[in-house]
Amino acid sequence: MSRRAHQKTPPFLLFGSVLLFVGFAAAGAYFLQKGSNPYRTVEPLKPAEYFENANSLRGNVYQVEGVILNALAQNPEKGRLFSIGVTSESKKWPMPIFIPAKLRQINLQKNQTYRAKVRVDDAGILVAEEIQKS
Amino acid sequence: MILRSITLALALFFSASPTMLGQEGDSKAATGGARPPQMNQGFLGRDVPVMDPGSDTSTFDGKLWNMNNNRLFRSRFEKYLNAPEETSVSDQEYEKTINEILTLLSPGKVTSANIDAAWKLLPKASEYRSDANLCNSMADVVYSVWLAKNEVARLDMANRTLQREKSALEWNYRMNIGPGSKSITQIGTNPPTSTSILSPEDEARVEPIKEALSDVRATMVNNKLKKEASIVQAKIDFQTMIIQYFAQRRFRHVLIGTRFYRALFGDGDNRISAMDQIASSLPVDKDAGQVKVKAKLDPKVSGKGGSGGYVGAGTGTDSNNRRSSGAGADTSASGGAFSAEGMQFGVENLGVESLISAGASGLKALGKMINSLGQLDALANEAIRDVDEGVEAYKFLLEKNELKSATERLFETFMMGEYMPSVRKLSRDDKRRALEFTKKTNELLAALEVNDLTRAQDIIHELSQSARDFDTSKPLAVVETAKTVSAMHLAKAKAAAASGDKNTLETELRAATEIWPRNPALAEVSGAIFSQTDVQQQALNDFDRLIAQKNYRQIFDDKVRYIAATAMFPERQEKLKGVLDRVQGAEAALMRSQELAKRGDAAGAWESVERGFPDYPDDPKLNQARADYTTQAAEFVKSVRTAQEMERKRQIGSSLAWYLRALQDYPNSEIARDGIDRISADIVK
Repeated sequence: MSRRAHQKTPPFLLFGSVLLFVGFAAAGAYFLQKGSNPYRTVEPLKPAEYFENANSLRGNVYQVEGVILNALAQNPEKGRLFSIGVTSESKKWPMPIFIPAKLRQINLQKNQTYRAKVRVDDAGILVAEEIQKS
Repeated sequence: MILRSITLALALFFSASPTMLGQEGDSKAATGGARPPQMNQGFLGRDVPVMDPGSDTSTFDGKLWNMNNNRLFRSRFEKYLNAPEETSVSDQEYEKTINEILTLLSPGKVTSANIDAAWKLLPKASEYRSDANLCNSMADVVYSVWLAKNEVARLDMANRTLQREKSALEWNYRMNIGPGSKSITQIGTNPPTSTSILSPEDEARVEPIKEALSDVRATMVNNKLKKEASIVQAKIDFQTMIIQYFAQRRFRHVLIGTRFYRALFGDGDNRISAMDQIASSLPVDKDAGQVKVKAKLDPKVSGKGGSGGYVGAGTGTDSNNRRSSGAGADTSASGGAFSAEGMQFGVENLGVESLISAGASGLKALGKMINSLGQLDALANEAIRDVDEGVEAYKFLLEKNELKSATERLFETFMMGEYMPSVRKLSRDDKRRALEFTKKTNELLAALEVNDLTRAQDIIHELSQSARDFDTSKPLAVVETAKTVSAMHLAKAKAAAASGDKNTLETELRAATEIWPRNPALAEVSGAIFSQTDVQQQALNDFDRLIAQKNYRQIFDDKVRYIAATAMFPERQEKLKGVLDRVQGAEAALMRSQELAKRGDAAGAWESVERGFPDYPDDPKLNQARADYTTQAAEFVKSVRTAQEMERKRQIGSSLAWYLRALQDYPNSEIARDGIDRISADIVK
């Protein structure tokens, strides 16, 4: 029998398939990412403004994401106070965040990154309304 | 005993003398108010000298004299010690004359010729200075006796003549009675008497005879009385002179007098009636009452071991206004001691009138005790012997170099037998040593009187060297005590000067000066006190000024000066302590910052300075370091200051954030950590 000549896949077809796969992957990743930030509708806190005058932000709700630096104080009835390092404008801003007692079920570990929805209370303290590991 | 009685009598006289010369005093103080107010003031008031034989002191008018150490006695004794010995030819001739008189009048040799010879020697003896014309006085008295005796003889002769005249007149009387006269004899229960009844003619004839007879009889009786009175008066005059010589301590004149007396009045009547007469002539006021001497004996005797001695005496007034004196003695010897106390003597109703009364009684009693010239003669002889023995004792003690005892014996001997040959013949060299000792003791007294303690101590030392028996313990105790007290006052003055108590300083310095005016330490200490006071005051002024200027660094740099200056000022001391604490804190912060800066830890250095800053914000050094380190750790400093500023403005969130940032910049920051802790605790509470 005669040997049939081997038929090669055309290169443009192979390159196009790879591009399509990458495109689908990127689109999936984009949509997946979009779906993991539950506070994407909440305005992120600008640390510089907070440092400048926290009192002027009182009553506002922000989202912050940062690394837990230290536990500063706690009161079983009221809650826990942490310092959280928020990176912004290529600077690391250490900021206080108060986790009220209602969120006591959440374990906050040092050096882990959390995202929180916070409200600036009357004393200018960021009080977490929601928080989750990011 | 003789010596004692004479000394006491003289002491009473001499102790009274200064007051007579115008010493003033509070008589009430002297009597202790014991004098009854209703009694009249007499001569010298009611205050009389009271002598304490235990201490040889005499009290009068509130003043105390030591009988052995008063000026009159001392000067008299020193005069004697300075006088040359009486061994000249004239002195020897005087001695010989007196002895000759005594020999002529000695018992067994008394004849009219010897009496006359002795009497003739009296004016000769009076020519010598030592006699003080006493023999002349005696010659006069003897002559008076002779005159009295002549008067008696004349009266006897007159009476004999009168007797003859009386006999003649009686004869004439009988012859002129005529036969017409009747003689009547009365018979009854009484013995029969016969009475001549003269006729008028007879009566007229015998009347002149009767009158003449009566005159003769009266004259005879008068002459008889005159004769008795003349002799008695002569005797009393003679006795008075002898007693006076005895009181003057002219014992050999007493012997001459008694021998003349016996020779002149050979009636065997040697009774001394002069004392009774003197006593009766004293103006005794019976209303003055009697001096009462009360003695109370409550003996307390004890024995003890050890060595030492003490003798003390004192006077006082009790609740019943009785003056009393007490004496206690503690004599001791090496290895044992014996003491007795509890004897008290009290005197009531002391006054001149009562004393005169007592003196009169005493003279009467003395007159009964010494009631014959023989006794006086014996006492004089005994005194002469005693004086001679005293001189011998003085010479012996001198040989033993026991000058104190020697001088005391000589003083006693001198007081008793000042005019005795043994005393007067004592050589000037022998007396010289006593004189030197006396001078030294007088100098010691003078030094102690003016509180020249250094001089007193030197004299005590000299006396202890020259007199083996001089007891230095008492004067040295006085000197040492005074020195100690003076030193205590000086110490108090120093303390007062240090504390700025000027009143106490002045008082204590004055007290120290009064106790020991020539204290060498006084000027030194005074100078030191005043210079110290100046330095201290200056330091205090500087301290107050620097405090007002808040220049604590200057105070810290001179802290030794200010610590010394404020030592006695609690308020300033407290301020100084606060200042030093603050500056020391700042200084420690500076040192710590320098160490950190050396390690390149500018933030730590700044923080160290910053932590010391609130304690002493005005410290230039701290400010300079703070400025330097601020530029070196600008970011950290900015964070901290912003955090502090925010905290001050109650922007808690921002403040905490800035503290956290500061801690991020400098993880060792205590300021940041404190701020974080403080705010965190505030948030969670």
